[in-house]
This record gives sequence, structure tokens and C-alpha cells, in this order.
Amino acid sequence: MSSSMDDNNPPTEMQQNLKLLKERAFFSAFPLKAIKLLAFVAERQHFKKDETLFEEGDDHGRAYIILSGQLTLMKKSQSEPQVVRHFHQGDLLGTFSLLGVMPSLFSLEAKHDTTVLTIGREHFTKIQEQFPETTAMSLKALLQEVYQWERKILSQEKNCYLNQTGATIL
Amino acid sequence: MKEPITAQRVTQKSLFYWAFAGNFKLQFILLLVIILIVFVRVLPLEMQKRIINDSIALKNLDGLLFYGAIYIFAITAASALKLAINYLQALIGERAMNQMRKDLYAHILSLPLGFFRTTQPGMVVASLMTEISTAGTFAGMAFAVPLTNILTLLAFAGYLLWLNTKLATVTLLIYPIVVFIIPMLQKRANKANKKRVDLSRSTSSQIAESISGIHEVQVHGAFAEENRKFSQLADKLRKIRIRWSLFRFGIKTANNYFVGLGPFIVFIYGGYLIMHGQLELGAMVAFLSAQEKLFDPWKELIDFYQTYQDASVRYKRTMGYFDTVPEFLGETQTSPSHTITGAIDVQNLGFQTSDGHHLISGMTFSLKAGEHLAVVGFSGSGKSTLIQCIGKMYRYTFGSIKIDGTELSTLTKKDVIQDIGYVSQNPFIFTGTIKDNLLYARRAVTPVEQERKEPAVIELDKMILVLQQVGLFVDVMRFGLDSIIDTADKKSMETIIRIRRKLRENFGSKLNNSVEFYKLESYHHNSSIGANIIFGSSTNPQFKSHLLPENKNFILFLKQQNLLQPLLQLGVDLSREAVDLFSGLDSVDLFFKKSPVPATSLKECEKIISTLKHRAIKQLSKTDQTLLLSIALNFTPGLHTMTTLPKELHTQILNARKQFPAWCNKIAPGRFDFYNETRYLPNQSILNNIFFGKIRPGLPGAEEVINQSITHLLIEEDYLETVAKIGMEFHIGNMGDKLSGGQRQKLAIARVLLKQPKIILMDEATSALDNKSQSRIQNLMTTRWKGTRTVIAVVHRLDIIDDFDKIAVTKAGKIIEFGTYQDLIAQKGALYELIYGRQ
Repeated sequence: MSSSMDDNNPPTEMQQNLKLLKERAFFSAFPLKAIKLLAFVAERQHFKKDETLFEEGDDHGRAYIILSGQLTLMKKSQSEPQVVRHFHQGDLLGTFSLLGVMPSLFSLEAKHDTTVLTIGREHFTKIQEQFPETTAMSLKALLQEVYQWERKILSQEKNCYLNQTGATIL
Repeated sequence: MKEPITAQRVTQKSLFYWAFAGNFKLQFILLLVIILIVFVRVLPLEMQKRIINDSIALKNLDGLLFYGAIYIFAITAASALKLAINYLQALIGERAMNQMRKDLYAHILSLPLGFFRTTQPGMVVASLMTEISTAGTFAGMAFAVPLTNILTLLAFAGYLLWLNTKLATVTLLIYPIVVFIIPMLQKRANKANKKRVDLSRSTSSQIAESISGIHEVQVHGAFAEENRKFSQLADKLRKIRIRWSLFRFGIKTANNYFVGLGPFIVFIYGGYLIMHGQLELGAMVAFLSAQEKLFDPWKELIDFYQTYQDASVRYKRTMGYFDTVPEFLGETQTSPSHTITGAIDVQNLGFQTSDGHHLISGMTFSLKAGEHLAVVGFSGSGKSTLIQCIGKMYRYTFGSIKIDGTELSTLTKKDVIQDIGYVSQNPFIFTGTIKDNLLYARRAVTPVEQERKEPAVIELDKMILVLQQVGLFVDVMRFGLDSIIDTADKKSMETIIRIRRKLRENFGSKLNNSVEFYKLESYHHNSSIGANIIFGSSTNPQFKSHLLPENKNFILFLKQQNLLQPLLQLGVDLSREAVDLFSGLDSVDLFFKKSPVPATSLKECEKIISTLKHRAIKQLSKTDQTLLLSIALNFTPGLHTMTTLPKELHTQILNARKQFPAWCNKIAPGRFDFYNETRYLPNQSILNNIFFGKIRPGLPGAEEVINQSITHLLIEEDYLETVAKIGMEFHIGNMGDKLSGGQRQKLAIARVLLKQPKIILMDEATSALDNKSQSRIQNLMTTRWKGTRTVIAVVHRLDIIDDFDKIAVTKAGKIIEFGTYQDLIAQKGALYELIYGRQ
């Protein structure tokens, strides 16, 4: 980065975004210029408590990093709404939806007033077009995620859902 | 295309066809001009001879003047005629190319869809724009050049033979020798050139390999080995390049030598003949200059031959590529005024691709008019192909599709276009406005002549209804609200100010969090620095905001406020960031939305940044300083996150804002209108005017509340339709790239709805829609279309298919289950498995 103003001023929003993205495994292998562009196009969004980010079935196409607050993943199509899990400050979610159309199986709500940093699929796709090598990198990161996820499930003591695992051999 | 389709396709026409088709008259004129030019070219030779023999030798001054006059007339006429030939040639060439382009374009558009599976758009662009132009240029010269030059050569030769048969025969003998030697050398040069190209390629790939594997090279210290490989190739390349150059120069030299030999023969043999009284001195001079002049037509003929080779290769390749039988063009409507009900009967349907793959086979089902069918199954199971066959986009290869009892293949495309609507998963949106796209399908079925006479007038109400039905109305309203209205529209301005007042009264404090209002005492983060200083808008075109950076008085004001230097510095910082981010990338609109530096100025910024390495800002040119200042004045902290606004500047700008009105009154009184809650803000969007401020970014949840409250007030003021109308004129960017995936799908559905076809085919047409919009369309289908329009929908979401009358489950190109939802679920077969998983 450049600029004579860096010395006296706090980091710009883009610089903060850049730092956040660089720390996430999904983006960290990207060429620096591509991450910079992502940091540039990323938006900050604010949600009030109980506001919905997306509904079940929506193809939301966005990845989120939680800057403050808390988000709750819900399954509402069940007989009564169930909390799937909570996401906290610093968590990254939704990267898969950047890669292609995917109606969400869950809905996402703000548990408290929440601020997120978010990247939309249309921006991500444009960056993939400009840096074709990022497609392979995303795929690699995706495989890694699925692998880690399944490994974690298998390593848990209670293997009550063992018959429903096997995502990595799909 | 004006001409009816004849048996011969455009792609099968010969290159020479274009030179003459439609150009007969021009070619005839050209022929006359050519005959004239040949005559006036030979004339000076005879004059030369007479000037020497009759005038100079006999000291006849009158003769000298007379022949001289004819001479000068002849060469002037030759130049003028040459110009005329060139002009005619260009005219014919351009006409031929234009016709070739139009015909080929019309042909390409009508090719079967299967053709485009393997054809890149870039290929079509290159063919139509670049490849064909060589053929066009050639078509222009195809007749003129060989004719002019051959006739000129013959005329010269004839004249020389007439002058002196012996000398002419000897001098003309050189040419057959040249004809033999030069092609021989050319052949060798070509061979060497081919070798050179091959070797260059190997050398390039050798370099690429070593550089790609540089890690391995360095870690093994294999420098000598890599150098050896490279040197070998480089040396070979050197040798072959020398050889190639030798032949090339050889050709030139040989040509020059033989042409130079001409005068020598004339001198020696001509001199001999003169001494023996068999030739006059004037005739020898005529021979000498003819010798020289023979060279030009000769060279032109050789060039023509090369152009012909090149053009015919390119032409054949281009035309050969597109030489496929068009499917639908030129068909006439067989039954002009039929109305269909929409019953569909499919029997044993099969589709085979040209390379023998069966995409679907043996599909059989029937639908009554107005019935709805959902087609489900995995990708690649033939769902899309099925509806594309019914939509007549592909010609089915086996079985039958009957619409109201008539075999689809016997109907022409024009017969079915009105009755069948198709929406794809990734609908194509054309560059233009929402309205253009909405009316696209309607316009397509209106004949061009009729459209020109009386453009389809579709009532606004109807369009609004359709937009509401598909759920695009809110978006269109938003586009309308984001538009700027003409300052002449006083009535609209008054209405908007009334809405502003009501909004403040009814929702005032509620909007505080989502709208940043204009306040004189505080910095407006969602406005540019320029807008923050002026805090108003100019009433004079000379003081428009984009012109301010050039305005001397304004710059002086910035200087007085100690703002000029900091702003220029800010401009430099922003340029640096933009160059850092965007240099080397395509100018993607989406990126530049958040950049204070427009894509068009990036190159200039790059130059400025590199100049600044050895110069101070003050030393930059005036244009550069203006650019930097305009970038800085355009900087909007709330939007442009690449840098932050320095705190000192913040305070200084607010100070400047306070001083600005007073300064204005002194320098340019009445040139600015300052923001005032009771007045309209020209050059700002309707929405900003309603709020007297701007919506804060990053509040997706707030938008709905805002939309609702505004819509309510717009209806009260009877202004909703006007805004919708403005919104429909919104320019949706290059191929609709300003629209989201959902908006594109909604627009595509609306486009088909407006046409009101009896049969609607939807290929995952709602896949990008959110839940609400999805149910809206679903609702539309069940309440408005059931029983009136036949629907076949490929559906990706299995939770919405129970509303359909029939379900077809496809697998590997076959329908494996067909029936009502209830029956199929009870049957616990393939559909059950798709929905609930394998039990």
C-alpha cells in the first residue's frame, strides 16, 4: 500500500478489510492484487437485532465476516424453528455461496445488532475472471474445508451420525 | 436480408461474386475509366518520341509546345483517372464488404443453436469485423487491378512492337526470365520462413519451460544445461534467419537487376539499330521511358496475386466455418391467423446431437390445454433439451410433438413464435433500458416495416401490471427514484417537495438512522468533497460541478481557503491507490463504482504517478493538476473506502462551506442555489430530494421500510406512475450488468408475460429469485395461468412442485415417472426418492 497519509491517520476501511481477508484461509492464497480488490469491493453492512440476512431457499450469494455482534443460523422449515449454530465476531461464513448458485438450506438472523464485512458473488465472479488462477485456489480451499469439517465430525466422541457422514467421498 | 433465400447459401458464394453482385453498373464505369487510362498512359510515350524527332531535331517550336501540351494533358488525365479508379475500387470494395457482412450476419443469426455450442462470440466478431475486410478490399480490386495492369502492359508492349519489332522483342524477353526466377527464389524464401517460424516457436517454448521451472533450475544449479539447450536453438535460429534474409534480398535484387537490365539492352541494341538507321532517337527515348513504366503494372500484378492468395484463404476459411444450413430463416407463416389452445402431445420424442449423442429418447406424455407440468431430475437428464425441442429451438430427430394436433415440425418458426414463450435459467438481457427489454419479445413479432410506421404502443398500465406480477416493480421504482428529473419539470419538483415535507412530518425521527440528512453545520459523508464545499448546485452551466476544477476563480477560492494543496495531495493519493488496484485489469464497471477515479482517467493517473517520481505536484502540467483536483473533489468518504478523509481537511472544508456563499456573491452572484429544505435540489436524484439527504450505505434492512413509507406518499400525491415510467427508462448497463441475477430473471419472465403466449416454457426460470419472489411467481402461475396457459417448467426446487398438475421425472434422457404429485408420492418411486432421499 502507499500513501503519505498512512503515517498520521488510522488505517483506511480498505486496509482493515485487507487485513481481515488475508487472515482467512479461503482468501489467503489469492494473489495480493486480487485480495486487495476484494478488500476494496467488500462492503460493511449493519443489521439490527432480529433482522434477517437471508431466508431458507434464498440464493443469497454472499460471504460474511462478523466484525461485531452475533449471527444465528436457523432451520425454520421444521415444525418449530431450531437454532443450528451461532456465529461470533471474527467468523467467516458463506464462502461456498460465492462459487455458484445455491439456495440456502438455512436462514441467517442477527442475534444482536451486528456489523459484517461482506462480499457478493457478482464481485467475486468478476475477480475470478480477472485472476483465473483464483478459481483453482477456491476449489482447493473448498475441498480443504469439507475435509476438515468431516474430520472434525469423525473425531468427535459421539459418532451417532456416522451413517450420515461421507461428504468427502462424494 | 432483402433477397429471398436461393438454393445457394451466402457461405457458398465465391469471392468474385461479391465484386459483381449489385455492382455491375460501377464495374462497367470502371471498365470505361480503365480503357481511358490505358490510352492516356501510352500517349506520353508517343509524344516523347515526337518531341525529340519532330520538334527538337527539326527545331520546330510550335510542334514542341503542341506536343508538350498533349503530354501534360495526358499525364494530368492519367492522374485524375487513377484517382477515379481508386475511388471506384474503394466504393466497390466497401459495398461488397458491407453486403458480405450483412448477409453473413443474417446467416449466422439463423444458424441452428447447436452450432453456437462450439462457437465463441469472439470468433463471430473477428470473422465479421476483421477476417472479412481483407476479402472486401480484394473484392474492390478483383476486377480493376488485373484489368488495368494487364491492359497497360499489353498496350505498352503493343506500342513498342509497333515502334520497332526487333528492339521490342529483345527488351520484352527479360520478363519471361523474371517470371521464372522470382517465383523460384520466392519458394525458397517461403521454405526458410516456415523453418524460421517453427524454430521461433520451439525457442519460445524452451524459454517458457525454463522460466516456469526456474525453481528446479536454480536449486540444481543447472544453468549450464539450460544455457546449452537455449544456445542450440538460438544458433539454429540465427542461421535460418540469415538464410531467409538472403533470399528476401535476393528477390529484390534480382528484380531490380532485371529491370535495370532493360535500359542497358535498349542502349546497346537500340544504339546499334540507330547507328544502322533502323531506329530514330525519339523512338529510343520512348523505349527507355516505357521500360521504366513497365515496372509499375508488373509490380502491381505481383502484389495483386499475393493479396488474392491471402484473401481467398481467409475468405474460404471464414465462410467454410459458417457453412451450415440455417434452420428457420426465410420460412413464411403457413397459417397466418390461427389461434391455438395449447394442448401438447409428445410421442416417442428423441433428440440426437450431430455427433451422435442421444440427449433424449422415447419421451411420451400429453398435456391438455392449460395444464401445468413440472419436469424434475438431475442435470443432464434431458430436461432442458425437452423444452427446447417443444420451443422449436432444436429440431427433434425422432418421434413427434403435436400442438393442438398439428405436428410441430410442419409449423414454421414464425407460426409458433407468437404462441410460445420461453424463459431460460440465465436469461439474456440486452443493453438498453428496462422498457427496451420488456418490449423485446413484443417487438420481435412485429414486422420491421410496421414497427417503423407505428411503434408498438403498450399502455403503461399493462407494463406496470406485469412488473408487479413478477415482483420487479419495487426495483423499477428504485431505479426511478434514483434518477434525476429535468429542471424544467416544475410540477414534479413541487410534488417532490410536498412529499419531502410529509415524510418529515410522518417519519422524521424514524429515518434518522438510515438517512444522512443535509445539515449546514456538519460534514456530509455520503457526498463528495466538492458537494460539501458548495453545499448547493450551480444555476449556470459554466459553474457545473465537473467544470469547477478548471475554473480559475474557484481554484483561487480554494487557495484562499488553504485547500488547494491538500486537495491536490489527496488527488495524488487517490490516483496512486486506483493505479495500484486497477492497473493491468479490464475496466470492469463493477469495480469502478467505488472508485473516485473513473476508468477513463486511469491511464492519465498512471502517467502522473510516474512523473511525480522526479517532480513535485506544483511542477505538473495544468491538465494534470485539473485531473487531480477533480478526483479529489469527487472523493466521497462514505463510498470510496480506499482512503480516509484527513481530519484537518474535514474542518477546513466545513470552513470553506461557510465562506463560499459570501465569496460567490462577490465573484459570481446568483450562480449557485444553496441547499435549503424548502427548495428542490437540481442535479440530485428524486430520492435525495425526497429525503433532503442520502441513504446511508450498508443497511439492507432499512431499504424495505424506506420503500414502503415512500411508496405510500407517492400514491397519495399521484406520482407513483410517473416514477415507474422514469424507472423503466433506466439504462441497465452493458448486457444488463447493472441488474442482479434475480432482477434479470424477473425481467425475462415479464418480457414473456407481456407477449401473453399460450404455452410458457420455463427452464429453471426462478432459480435466482428469493423466497418471496419465488412464491409470487408461483402464485401467479396457480391463480392466473391454470387452465388458460399451458406451462412446462423445469424445476430445481422440489418444495414448489405440488402445485403443478403433472410431474415428469427424467433420467438419462427418458421420462421414468409421469403423473400427479399425489400419485407419484404414493407410488414411492423416483420422485419420492428425490424429495425424501433413498429410504
